[in-house]
Order: sequence, then structure tokens, then C-alpha cells
Amino acid sequence: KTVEKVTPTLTTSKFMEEGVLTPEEFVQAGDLLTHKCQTWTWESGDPSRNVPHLPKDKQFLLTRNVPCYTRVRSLENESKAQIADEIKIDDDDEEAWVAPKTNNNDDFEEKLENLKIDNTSTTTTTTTNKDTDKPKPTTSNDDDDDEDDDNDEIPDMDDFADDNLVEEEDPATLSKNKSNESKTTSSSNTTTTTAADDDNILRTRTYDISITYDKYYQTPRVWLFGYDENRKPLKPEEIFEDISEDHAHKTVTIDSHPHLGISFAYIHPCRHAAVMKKLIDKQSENGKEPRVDQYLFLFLKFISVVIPTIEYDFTLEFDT
Amino acid sequence: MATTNNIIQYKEFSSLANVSFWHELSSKKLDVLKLKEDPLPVNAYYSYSTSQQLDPFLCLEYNSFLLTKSQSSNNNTTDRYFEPPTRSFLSNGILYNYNTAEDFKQSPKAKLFEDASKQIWNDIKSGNIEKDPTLLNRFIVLTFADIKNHQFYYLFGIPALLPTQPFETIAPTVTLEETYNEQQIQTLHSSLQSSTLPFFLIKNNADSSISVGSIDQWDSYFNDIEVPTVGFCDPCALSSNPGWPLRNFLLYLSTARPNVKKVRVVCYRANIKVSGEQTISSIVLTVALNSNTEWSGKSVGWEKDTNGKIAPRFISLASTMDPMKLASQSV
Repeated sequence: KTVEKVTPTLTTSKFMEEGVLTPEEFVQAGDLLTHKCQTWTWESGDPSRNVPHLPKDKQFLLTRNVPCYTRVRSLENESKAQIADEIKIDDDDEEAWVAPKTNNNDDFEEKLENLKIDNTSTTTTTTTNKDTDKPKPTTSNDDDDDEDDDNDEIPDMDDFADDNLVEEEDPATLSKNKSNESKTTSSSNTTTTTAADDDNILRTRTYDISITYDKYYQTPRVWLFGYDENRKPLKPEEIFEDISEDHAHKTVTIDSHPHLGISFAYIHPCRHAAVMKKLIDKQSENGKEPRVDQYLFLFLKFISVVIPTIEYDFTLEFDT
Repeated sequence: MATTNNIIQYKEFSSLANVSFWHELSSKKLDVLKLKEDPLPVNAYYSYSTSQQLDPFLCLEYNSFLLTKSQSSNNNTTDRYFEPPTRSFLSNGILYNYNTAEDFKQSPKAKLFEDASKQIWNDIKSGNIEKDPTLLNRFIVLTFADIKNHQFYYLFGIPALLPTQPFETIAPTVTLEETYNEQQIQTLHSSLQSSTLPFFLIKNNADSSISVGSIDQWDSYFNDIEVPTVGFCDPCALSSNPGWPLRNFLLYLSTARPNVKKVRVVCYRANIKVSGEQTISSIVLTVALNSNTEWSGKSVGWEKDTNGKIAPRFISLASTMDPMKLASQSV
């Protein structure tokens, strides 16, 4: 942090050369992201924590309540095929960042797809296991709730309940257990109901993801804040369940968010510029002119390798 | 004639008080409130749902204690104001914070809830809604902040005023695409793109285009039209149920427009597409309005626990609220 204070602000563009951004370019890229992906917004944060090199109303980017349906572990075990079409970005195996293939035939996505990034042949594991959509066994309930209960000395809420508080029976309130919305996945043999199906809405973890500008690394920095199925904040060790194993303890750390002053998990930006540089180079090699305002789309695409099950948006939408 | 099958069933809000909100409440309690138990205005917002599997959320954040521009009396240019994020809609709240668990438990909850309901009804009767439709969205939140242990107990009430007769649909629910053509839907999207109005009117023009207007344009929009079309920004994603904000809006309509017998309601869900998700489709309801409808004097909307029981929620932030950091923040 102190280092950041004495680091001069980058003023000339080194986007093409080094894969880094000036604060102005960060704003440009953020403007395009918030314009195209409407779930992302600019935020001002705590005014006492404003940084001078960014506009007051554009201090950081935020997307809220992003669903995260499964843990990385289950993804890795069950359907490796989904992330199998990885494009290796880096040559040294140990620190390789990988980009996932998405099934999006969007214009820009295609362009991104065209990036043949690997020098060696693309590592493709089997794609034959199409039948990964097996019904979940009823025994493995949706999450690790017993663990939660142990750590959080939850007080007896009956002490706080007000017995006099009752509500009118109301036929117009959608009751949680009435299955107005049938959740039957398909016509096949998947009628097995899991515990969560009692409710018409399947509860899921959610994340708030924010992107700040890191003055020292001159790249975006990604912060994660997670909530469990009951909207209670996730503990750091629970957040690690949503970070790919390759990165969980290497690249993800906890620190105080620069604009909110609250502890968040963040993805360490030390290798961001190098990876971005590679992606940009590949883009030019393929005859596409890299655009600095599209920086965050590329960036978020490779971040999705680290957090593959958090379904935030980084696709270019229809033009409005 | 009235079968219960046609009663519109609305999806309740779930409160989502962000961690930053509790941090803010803690420092407010330490620096400003101290032992005072005065009610505090707070502002929340709701947005379109981005997933079928998410509840409609009523969100509070670090800036929820700021007032909106129209709420604050002295318009000082240096003041910061509350503004909902883009494509989100304001909900006006009051926070009642109690100093002890006992006070929290003994608080006059039913009365506070009724007060908020009455306020909505008064605004409907007085015509205030026309000037500021967000006044239909109100909530209360009761809290007990055990700041020594970074623990918070809270209970949300988001009143929906019960009409004397529940509102019913009189035609099958259809999708937006079945109601409007592509051109018209495009107009709808672009008109609502940066709108902050939670409720709106839709007019079919002679040339088959449509116009979108605010609810105070009623007279110029629906001169002698038998079934006017209204819309609301719907935080719910279910394919056959609308979200909570429609409830007070329908009561407002039946009160303010006693001559209208039927109304078409577009439950607008934007057109947000998130990676790997289908776009959530908007639905259109045809609703009977009864001119004799009044507020029954009752309202519902206390937040329930997972067992469907009205019960406070609990959150512990010991892990994110390091006392040392907190101390340095609050100096």
C-alpha cells in the first residue's frame, strides 16, 4: 500500500507493449463494460477513500448478486469437459493461466475464440462425457451446512422472536412451498427431487465482484465478496471453494478493499499484465486490432479461469 | 365467479443487507447515534433479476444512509445523495435501531409496520404517488447491533397493503413477445433503458408504434381506452408470478382510476443476459380492477425465515470486522 502511494501514476499508454493500463484507459474500458454488460456499474465508494487519479463517480466497478451454483470441486470432478477446452496461455506449466472456451457465438466472443494462443497443440481432454447432467444423489445435500453451524455460534433466535407478531393469512403471497413454478429439469428420468426442490427457487451462493485499478501493477484488480444460500457472508475458507484449485492459495489473498475498507478476497494482480500482454499479442497476430476499451472483456475472460463457477457477465450484448 | 385460482400471487422480496451496510451502521452507532433510538431514514433498491434461481432482492449498501436529493431539505451542492445503481429502483425505508436485545424484542413492530402502511395509503389518497411513484415502495427494518461482538439482529417488513378483495387475473398470463411486436419491444427496452421510474404507462399509437410514459401522464395517454396498459419494473424472474412492487401499484390504480375495470400489466424484466443464462422473459397479466376496492386496513410483508415463520435474522461479521481496523475507521 505504501508502495502504491509513492508509485507515480502511469500517464502514457503502455497497453500494447506491456498489457497495462493508465487510469484513463481503465475508465475507458470500464465505460464500455458498463455500457455493454448492464450488470456492471461504476461506483464511488467511501468518499474518504477516493483516489485522485480516477473520477469521483468512477472509482471502481461492481457487479452484484452474481449467482454461483456449484463449487469448483464438483465442477472439476463432474464435468471436467466443460473446462477441458482450455487454451493454454503461458508456456511454463506451473504458473499457466488458462482461458476457458465458452459456447457463445457472439461476435466478439468469436474473435476471442480465434485466439490460437498455444504454441503447442491445444490440450483437449475427452469431450465424450455428455451425460454429466445426472441427477444429484439425494444424499449429498446442496452444501456443507453442518460446517457452518459449528463455527458460527448462532444464538437461539427464539430469544429474539416476538410471539405477538403474526401476519394475516394471505392468498396472494406466493408461498415458498407451493410449486407454482415446476422445476422439473427435463422429461427424462430426472424427476428425483432434491431437498432444495421444495422451494420454487433454488437457493444459491452469490458474489459481489468488484474491479479496482491497481496503481502499482497498473492493471485491474478483482475482489470477491460471497454470500451463502441464506445471504450470510462467506468465510474466506468457503470462498476458496469457488476458486479453481490451481489458484486458490497461490493467487488469492484477503485484504481490505481500497474503496470500502472491508475485508475482501482478491486475485493477486502480479501476473495480470503478462497474461494480458500475451492475449493482446495473439489478437494482433490474428490480424485483429486490440482495442484498449475492450481490455476488461479480455481480462474478465481470463479471470473466469480462476473463478469458473461464478457466473458474472463479460459477453458483449446486443447494441442498444 | 371468483375462483381462488385467479388470485395473483406475488413473489416476496428477500432482504440483502450488504456487509458494507452493517459496517456503516456500526460506525453510525458509535459516532452519531450512540444511545439514541431515533428512527433513521434509509434507502434501499431493487433491480431486475439476472437469474431464475435468485430471489428478488431488496438491497442495502454502504450508501443506504444517504438521503436522496428529493428527501434532503437543504440542497447543498457539496452533499452526497443516495442514488440507486443503474436499472435499479428506490425503496424508502426507516431503520429502528435498539440498544438492547430486550428493547428489540419488545419493540412495537406491528405498529411500526402499520405506520408505514398508512403512509403508503395516505400518499395514494393524496396524489403524492403521481409526483413520486417510488413512495409506493416502502419498508422498515428493525435492528439490534451488538457492535462489541460484531453481531447484528434484524427484521425487515416490506408492507403490501391488502385490498378488500385480492386482485385477480381475467385472462391467461402471456409473454411480452406474444403481446408486442419486435419493433414495439425495442421501443420498450430503449425507453426503460435508463429510467428510474418503477411504474409506467404504455400507449398504443395509431401507427402501431408504442409510447412509454410516467404515471402522471394518464389522462393524455388513456383517453377513453377500455383496457389501458401499465407496467412495472419487476425484480421477480418467475414465469407466472409477478414481484412484490405490483401489489401497492394495483391498489393505487384501483383507487386513483375508479373508472377502469380492466388493466393490462406488463411485468417488465429488462433484457439482461448473463453468460450461460437465458434472458428472463417479461410477462403480461390482464387484471380486473374493482372500483369498490379500498385498503382493508391490513397489510402483509414481514420477512420470514426458512420455515415461513416471522423471525429476526442474525449475522455475525466477526470475521470481516477486525476490532483494530474498526477502531481506526471510526476515529
